[in-house]
Amino acid sequence: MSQQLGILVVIDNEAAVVSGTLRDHIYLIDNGHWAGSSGEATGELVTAVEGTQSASQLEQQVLNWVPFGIGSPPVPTPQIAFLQTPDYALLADVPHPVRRPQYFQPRILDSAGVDIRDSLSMRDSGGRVRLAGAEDKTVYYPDPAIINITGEAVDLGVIFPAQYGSPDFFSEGLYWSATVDTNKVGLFSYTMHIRLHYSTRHDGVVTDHAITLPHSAYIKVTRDFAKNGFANTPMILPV
Amino acid sequence: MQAINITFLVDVIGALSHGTLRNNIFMADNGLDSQGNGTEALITTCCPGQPVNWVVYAIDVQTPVLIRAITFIDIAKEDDQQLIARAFERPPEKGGDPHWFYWSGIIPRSLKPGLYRYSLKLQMGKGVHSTMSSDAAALAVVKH
Amino acid sequence: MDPENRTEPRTITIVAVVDVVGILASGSFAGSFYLIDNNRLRGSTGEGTDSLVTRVRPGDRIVWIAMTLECEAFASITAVGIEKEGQRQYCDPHSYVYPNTNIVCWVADVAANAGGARIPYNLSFRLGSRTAAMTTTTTPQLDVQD
Repeated sequence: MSQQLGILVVIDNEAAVVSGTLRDHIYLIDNGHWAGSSGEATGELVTAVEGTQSASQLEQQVLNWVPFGIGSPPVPTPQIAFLQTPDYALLADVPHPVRRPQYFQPRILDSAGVDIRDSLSMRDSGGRVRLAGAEDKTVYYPDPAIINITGEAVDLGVIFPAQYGSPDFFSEGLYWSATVDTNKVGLFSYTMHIRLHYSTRHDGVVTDHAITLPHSAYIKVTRDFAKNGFANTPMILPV
Repeated sequence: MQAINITFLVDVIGALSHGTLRNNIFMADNGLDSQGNGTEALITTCCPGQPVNWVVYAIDVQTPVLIRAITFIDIAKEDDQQLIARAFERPPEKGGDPHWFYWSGIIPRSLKPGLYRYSLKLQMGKGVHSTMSSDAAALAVVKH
Repeated sequence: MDPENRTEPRTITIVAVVDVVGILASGSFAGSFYLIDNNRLRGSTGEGTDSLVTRVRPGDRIVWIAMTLECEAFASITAVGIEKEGQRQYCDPHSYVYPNTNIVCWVADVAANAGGARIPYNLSFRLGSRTAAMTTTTTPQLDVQD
């Protein structure tokens, strides 16, 4: 089976930063439920990976991790869809953000299509104008980034993860993917290191922060002998 | 003798959305003189004694597709002594799960030339609508 | 958390994650549909299940978005149905298309007089290239604080 397995990593950014842990605020979902994965939509996903000892319909198994922050717009919505005219002009220019400090790029949007950073000045994240102020406030950017995958599965050579770029706008074009050595049968844990961003305004000064939190999940590799599908007649076709 | 590889691509979500493999399966092989390459109705030219392999791929790499069964539709006459029992379907229990199978075999050496149609049964995911068949393809067995 | 935020209206996002292949192959949402929101810290329960209870306050904005497990599969919410007629005054979802795209989300504002209401809803989706929409049959709801 040539199916690549996709693992969606859904994170409630604000809750994770405030609690200081991803536990209870990360939900892992893969598309291998029909093939035996368990723990879907919890933090304890066990992804089932099946291998075989000789050529069969099973080919090299591939895992893909896609992070998604609750509160950001849906993944296929490109950020450039929301750019204002002066930003379009900036995109055509050589990227030197320091030359035009009054403009932020790229924009960071929430699920309602509103720039998160607007809430630091005039509008809240629901798009409604409220009194502008300089009061202390914290803004949590919804998009998490996976910055590394380590752990038992990597150390034992069960999975070979790396970060890849893609022409898709999802995850800002970056995602993690790993091939699996299905000769190594068993239950293995791996750890994702996830970076979350937030900004605070205190005494009128805006400071950007990032925090990296780990979270572990599992893969379960099983294996069986490949058999010829033509049952009793493995060599001669039953025509 | 060189093996013939019959490869087919399946648009899994298209097939599941419309409930049919029609227009969602594209077959091709590396035989000489085969007809219907790129369509659902591939007629593969082959000879007695030649090995044949079937391999399936999904167009969307994150969707699952497996060959559940290949059954020959036109069963030869009873008095043909080279006839071997036809394949039966395996139920999907562990160890018998379709993804542990590979599909390849050899055309019987004494098979009479002719058109032998087969039914391809595919499984896409799990559930009542997950299995679909296509009966349009065939092997055209010719003399050496 | 910012103490000033306590009385301010918030935008709460509900993500509906769908396994398109799983739903089309089995003909039902069971085992292939997950709801998650970003309000767990303030009282939402059932995160990750098909019966999420989202805690909200009057004045909050709710945004529903669809997310597929297979990154190239298509899924779109065609309707958010408030099951009880009398509750539509509390919450009236409408669709919103992100500008310059064809990506849809559904938005509703919780009415000021909705305090104390429990509002069950269902979601209808278009999946893959299937023309007819499919509707969920479980009971997610909005739980409005007093």
